Amino acid sequence: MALDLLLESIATGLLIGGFYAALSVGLTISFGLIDIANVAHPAFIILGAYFALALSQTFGIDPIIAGLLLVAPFYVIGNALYLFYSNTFERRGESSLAGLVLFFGLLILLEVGMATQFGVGLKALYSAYGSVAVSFGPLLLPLRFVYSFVAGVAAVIALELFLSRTFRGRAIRAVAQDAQAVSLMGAKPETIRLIAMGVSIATAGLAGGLVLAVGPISPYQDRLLIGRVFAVVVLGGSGSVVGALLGGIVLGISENIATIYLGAGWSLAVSAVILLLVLALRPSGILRR
Amino acid sequence: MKRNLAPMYLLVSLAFGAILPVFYKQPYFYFASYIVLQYVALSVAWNLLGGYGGYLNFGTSAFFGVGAYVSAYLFNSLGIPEVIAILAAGAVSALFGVLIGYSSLRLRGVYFAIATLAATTLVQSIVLNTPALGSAVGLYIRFPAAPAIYGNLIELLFVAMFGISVVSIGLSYWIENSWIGRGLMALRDDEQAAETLGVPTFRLKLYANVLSGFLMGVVGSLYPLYIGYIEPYSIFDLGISFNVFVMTFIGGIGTWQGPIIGALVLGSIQQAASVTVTSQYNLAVVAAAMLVFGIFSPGGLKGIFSRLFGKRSTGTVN
Repeated sequence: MALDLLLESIATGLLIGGFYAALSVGLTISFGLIDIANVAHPAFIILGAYFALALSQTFGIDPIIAGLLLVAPFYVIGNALYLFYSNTFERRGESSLAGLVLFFGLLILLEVGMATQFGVGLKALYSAYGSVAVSFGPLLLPLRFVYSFVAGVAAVIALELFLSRTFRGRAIRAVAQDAQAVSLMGAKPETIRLIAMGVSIATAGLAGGLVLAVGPISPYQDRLLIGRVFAVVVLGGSGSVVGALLGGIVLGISENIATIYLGAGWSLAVSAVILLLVLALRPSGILRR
Repeated sequence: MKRNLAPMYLLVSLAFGAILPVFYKQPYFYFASYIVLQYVALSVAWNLLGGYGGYLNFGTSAFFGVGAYVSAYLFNSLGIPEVIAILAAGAVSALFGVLIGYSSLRLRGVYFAIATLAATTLVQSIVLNTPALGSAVGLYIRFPAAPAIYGNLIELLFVAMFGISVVSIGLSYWIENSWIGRGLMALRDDEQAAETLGVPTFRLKLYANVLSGFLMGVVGSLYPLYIGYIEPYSIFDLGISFNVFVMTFIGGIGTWQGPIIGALVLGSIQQAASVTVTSQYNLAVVAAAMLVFGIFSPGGLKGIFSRLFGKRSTGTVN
């Protein structure tokens, strides 16, 4: 029986890992590729979740579809955010530290904005599959996690293809490797960063839909996600999209195993421990290049 | 000449703080000033690593909270005298600083900032899962008897926090003008160059983090006595870390006067505002103020003063 429980928690952990990957891919792009430590990334995800809730309730659509609809507007928000950041902070040099000032401030403003606009209580969307589980061999898996896993993996594959196959995606990786060389080739690193930040925040829109599909939302929920997304990003090696998927799966499974053996109260500590350990022992992540 | 007078300033300020409650009786003044002074001490402590070294600590509430819980536990459950509990709280918090420092101070500053965020979650989880520390329910603190010279406990707490602030300021002034401060500023401006010239960068960062952690722990250790009841969600709140960061930033990061100015100004405004607006808006105002300063005056209020009076600012993170 105990083995069944372990197997099931590993399987669910795997599914949650895909969900975590969706929450973190955007951050691995901004943090790892264009050196913007966007601590407000989870706050944008929760903002996306509230927008997805409004969309789902108004048009009666699925939260994941709502998340997909948010990709375009969030891309624009990301562009605007980058323009603001580069005109105020980045130009002064030592960008990533000065940026923390902006993004920490933004995190608080977004939280307060959501708390006053949507109320501090929990809000949930009851979808048709919210409490349905599918049996997979001997395992019983919650359908909402299956869907969010599929969406997360699809997002990772799409972004990996974008970064490795398209001209713009390759340009983003080029800027990450050597911005000066890129500008010597006649391209503007700023324009490429603008695109990258747009993509990063666009994933937060989709992730918001997934958060809503998985469970109830609240304005300060981003604080439960900060440690997790950074743990996933650092674990996978910041800048690596596929690493985010692996990191997410490692975190998802570890959290679930910790929940069985130590109790649910410890699940938040898992990401913190993983983050601190990876920083101490292997700061370049599990996929060292 | 000026430096020889520093110990005298220190003693005069300490004496002033200790005597004030004997003459001036106004409970709300002490109640509000305690919090302002608490932020002065926290910001000055934060500035040691964040201002001089440029390594931003987003986990002030973790150090503060470790101090609060250690002293509350020692004092409440084991009946250990306050003074020892306070020092023990500082020591445990300093040790916590060593752990975080070893884990992440070798890396770029951004990683340290993230590690301190994670460390806050970790200590909060530990407290939430430890019944001896009250788990999620929290701990009630038995108030000690008020001392004879001061009318009530709040006056004594005010005097103690005043003393801690003055001592922290003295330490910060000393560090700014010693080889430790110069080394930290050198590594803030160019870590590789500093390392090449023989500055023991990692050791200096660790010292600063440990000292800063010790002071934050000591400050936190008094809080249970002030508030009477502690629970993990309000103690390890990101808002505390954010306030401290912003106060230092607005006052003038990387100078010994900056965090004092910022904490006095913003802390007083917040105390006045807490009677009128909710804490949510309070934090939003602070965040907005920080963005405005970040964009228009990275040197903070200290930088504005220096520009007005023609003195050169000691430096900023940027």
